[in-house]
Amino acid sequence: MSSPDIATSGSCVPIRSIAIVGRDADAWISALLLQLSLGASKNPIKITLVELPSRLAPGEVYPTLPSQQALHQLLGLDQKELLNSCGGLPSLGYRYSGWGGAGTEFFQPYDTAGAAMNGVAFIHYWARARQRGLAAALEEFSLCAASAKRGKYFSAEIDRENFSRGQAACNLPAIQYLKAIGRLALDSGVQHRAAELASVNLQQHQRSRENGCSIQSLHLNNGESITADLFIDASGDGELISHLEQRDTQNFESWAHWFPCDQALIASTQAMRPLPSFNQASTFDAGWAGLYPLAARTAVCAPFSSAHTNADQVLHTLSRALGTPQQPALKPLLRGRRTNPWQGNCVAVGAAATSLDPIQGTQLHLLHTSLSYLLTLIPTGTECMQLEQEIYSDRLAEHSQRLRDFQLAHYALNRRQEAFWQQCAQTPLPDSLQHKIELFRARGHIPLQENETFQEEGWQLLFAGCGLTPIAWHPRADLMAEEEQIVAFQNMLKLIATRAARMPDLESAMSPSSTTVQD
Amino acid sequence: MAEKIKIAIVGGGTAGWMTAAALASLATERICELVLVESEAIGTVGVGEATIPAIKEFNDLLGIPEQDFMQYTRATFKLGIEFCGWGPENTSYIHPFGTFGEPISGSDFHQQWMRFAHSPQTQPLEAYCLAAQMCRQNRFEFPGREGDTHSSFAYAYHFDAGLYARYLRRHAEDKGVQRTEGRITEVRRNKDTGDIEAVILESGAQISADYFIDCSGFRSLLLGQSLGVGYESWQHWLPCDRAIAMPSGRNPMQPPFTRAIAKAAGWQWQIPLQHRTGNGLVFQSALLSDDEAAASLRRSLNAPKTATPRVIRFEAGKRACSWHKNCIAIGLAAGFLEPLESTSIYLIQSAIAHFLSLLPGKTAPPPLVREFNRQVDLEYERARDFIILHYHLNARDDSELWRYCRSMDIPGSLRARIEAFRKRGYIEQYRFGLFAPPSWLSVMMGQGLMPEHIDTLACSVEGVRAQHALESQLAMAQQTLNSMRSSSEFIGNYCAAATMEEFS
Repeated sequence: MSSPDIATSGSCVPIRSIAIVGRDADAWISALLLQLSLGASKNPIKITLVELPSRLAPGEVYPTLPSQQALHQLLGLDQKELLNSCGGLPSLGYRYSGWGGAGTEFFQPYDTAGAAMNGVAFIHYWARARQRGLAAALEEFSLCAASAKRGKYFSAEIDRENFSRGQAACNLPAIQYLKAIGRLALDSGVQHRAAELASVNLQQHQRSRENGCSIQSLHLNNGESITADLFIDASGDGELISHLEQRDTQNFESWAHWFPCDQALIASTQAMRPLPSFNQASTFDAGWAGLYPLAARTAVCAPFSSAHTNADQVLHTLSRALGTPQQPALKPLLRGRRTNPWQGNCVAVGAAATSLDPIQGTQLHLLHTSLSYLLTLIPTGTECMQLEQEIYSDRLAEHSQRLRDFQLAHYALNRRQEAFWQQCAQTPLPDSLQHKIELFRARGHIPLQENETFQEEGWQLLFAGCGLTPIAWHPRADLMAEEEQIVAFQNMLKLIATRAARMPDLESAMSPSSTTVQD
Repeated sequence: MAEKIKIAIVGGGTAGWMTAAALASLATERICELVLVESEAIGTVGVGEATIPAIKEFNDLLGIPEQDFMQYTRATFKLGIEFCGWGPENTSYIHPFGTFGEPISGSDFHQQWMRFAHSPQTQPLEAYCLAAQMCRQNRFEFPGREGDTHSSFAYAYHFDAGLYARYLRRHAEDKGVQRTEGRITEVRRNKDTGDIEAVILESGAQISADYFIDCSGFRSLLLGQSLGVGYESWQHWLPCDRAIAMPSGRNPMQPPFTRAIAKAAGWQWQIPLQHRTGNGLVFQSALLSDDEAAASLRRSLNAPKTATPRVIRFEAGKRACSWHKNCIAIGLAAGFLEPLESTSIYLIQSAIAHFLSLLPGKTAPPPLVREFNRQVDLEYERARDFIILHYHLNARDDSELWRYCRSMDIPGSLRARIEAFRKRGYIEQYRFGLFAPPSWLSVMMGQGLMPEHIDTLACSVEGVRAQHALESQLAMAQQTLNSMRSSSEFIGNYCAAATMEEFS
């Protein structure tokens, strides 16, 4: 094999500058990550952030998935230190109240449930036992769920033989969190302008396979003009990339019919004591209220459907349940994805690419995913981005749709009687989700596809929590005698109870001397 | 305990006995009643004498002791494939069962190699890959623990597929599989459901079952002939439609790799076993007659021929679905891909694995059947793309076959992968199916496709650090290689087969 002849010149001029236009988490995390990855080398790419006015409500929270820890690592952040300094808290999952009808409840931990026996996944034994009268829900076999319900946190040190593969996400108070990220970004050399877009200067380009526009420069309302080789739209709603979209094409795939909550009421209530190690999502007649514990308060985000209720009613409902919420504010919810989040030399990341429903707090995960793809696909030259554009769009579509399916299942499988909820339950589902539900019902099997965020255990716990029990199971589960299986289940529950009792509570786990949150 | 599921396996070649052995071991006779029908009068194709590392998982799952199996099937170790004459003239490359090097500061190893390819210290990419070097130097040792250089590779086997089927038959029969000898003369179907109710043998005996697994080979007796499931031809991408096989004497070097030599009308395989060398020519019948092919193969063999040539006719492609009604096709009855990347046995194995994971009760719910077909289709398509890659990227000009393959329209999934690599060395890893990025890298670079650009992120890694990582990878590979025994010595000590006399 001989050495390759790499054309470094050619028609492509390397990317030397990237301008990010956006606001809030999408903008600051993009700026910091791009600066650390591309702006610090010998031949650095210049990273400029044009920060648009924030749209954060005063009490807003960023709920996350466990993958946030990996993003923080990439950003060089110690998660526990970060949480303590900005007043955030880790969270082991969600308690869903009322989704299966009044008085029902289920828990969705970031965890596995039960242990495989004789090479057969636990779900099959559980399905068989349930069909024969077992009362214990699937979540009772999750150590994280059990710990959370007992007011405890989770420490892998106590679960030494790894019965569970539990992980924690975290709740980040948005304003304080972004102050921390912003400081790091500025310290690491990001060029920062706080401004608004006055106009966008486009240039027509005609290439062999492509016919469209690129951004030449941005004019800001402070009179300044910004040029760059690549532009990142981190605005949340696509304020920049929309300049490149042709009006006559379908640029946005709306998911509004699946996710009828079009607004969210954002507020705060007092902190819960002792601190819960989980979030809550409780239904009301035309939406649901998410409670996200923080160190000094509880953040509230209540998505609702304005076709079925209004903000005053929602506020009234929240007040009755939680006491008067502080600093209430309304936010519109977009729900859908850009069919082509990369246009010309402009890439939409985070919510500008795909705007997800608030359920399960997946939006920052999507930002992380879009940035990971962007980093591996930074164009090799200013004039050749078609390939990168296609890969980016295709992969992001797959990730977004699998996340959407997971979120959608929460709504679609509800068993409430109100008009809003009935509508959610009756809307036809995407084939991909329909297939998952049917196969789980038929057999407890989760047909995973490429680019899934949630793995088998996440889907199983969700479906079981939503009230689905498989009607059949793997025949190999029948090789274990029922009595033997009952004993095995009892032993698992005993082990879970013992370990959960030994888990630290969240407050002591968060004390700087404890090592738990580092796990 | 639910009522037992009755499964009839039709056909006793590699696919039939692999299925029988796996179901008997993993589904067990407490769940399944297993019957296998085969006819001595019908020969087996046994195309796969070379395997890929997944086979070890299969054997391990069945509890097959490696030494015993290797002795019985006269197996040798396989660490990759040497492709001769596919790329630039007079070149060969190894597709190794191993990685080239660990990522450097988060960027792919090959990107850093490309970045410093012009530096005088930089060696050809293959030099950094331990598995490739083991092939070049005829060395073998088992992979080590995770973390050391030893762990950068996996291994497979070359074995006598006929003996493997016999070995598995013994295993399956020990575990309760009933073997019935006889030719099937009729397939009886339920008038209402269309399900297969029974197969009827020449003797008049009837075998009824809940499921029928069609391992009847190219004939696809149940799925194709009886149920009428159509065949999706891939011949426009893989024009070779014939193979001729001819064994020759043993190679004393016992090289730990298969050789695939491109020829004007196709390509020739060489598979070293302990007692002989398997040879064959895969070719396009429009370019070469069977006699010409036989003559050409005979000429090319260094050893005298010890058996008459055998001709196999085929058409690349697969059935529209592998599972229809209560019939599941596994192996050649489900589809055929030429043995260029030793995928035949893997495709059998993966179909068995998907079936076992979805093993139904007395009746199979539709979503379960749908899922099986989705998985199997994906496996075939991914293996197919990788095989087409070799043909499409050829640099030959000695026949219409090669010129056609170079300019033909390829599947969109493959075109996208090639373009991503051509432009910037980007290789996406997928989760399901074959093959992993190092495999794609070895073939694309080996056949002369050099990326036009280096990844932007890779360029922001500190240069000194990257060069140092390249050097230490090279030194590690060399050092590890030098401590290894020759493959012939290793095989002689570990799993030498009994002599021919003892065998016959």
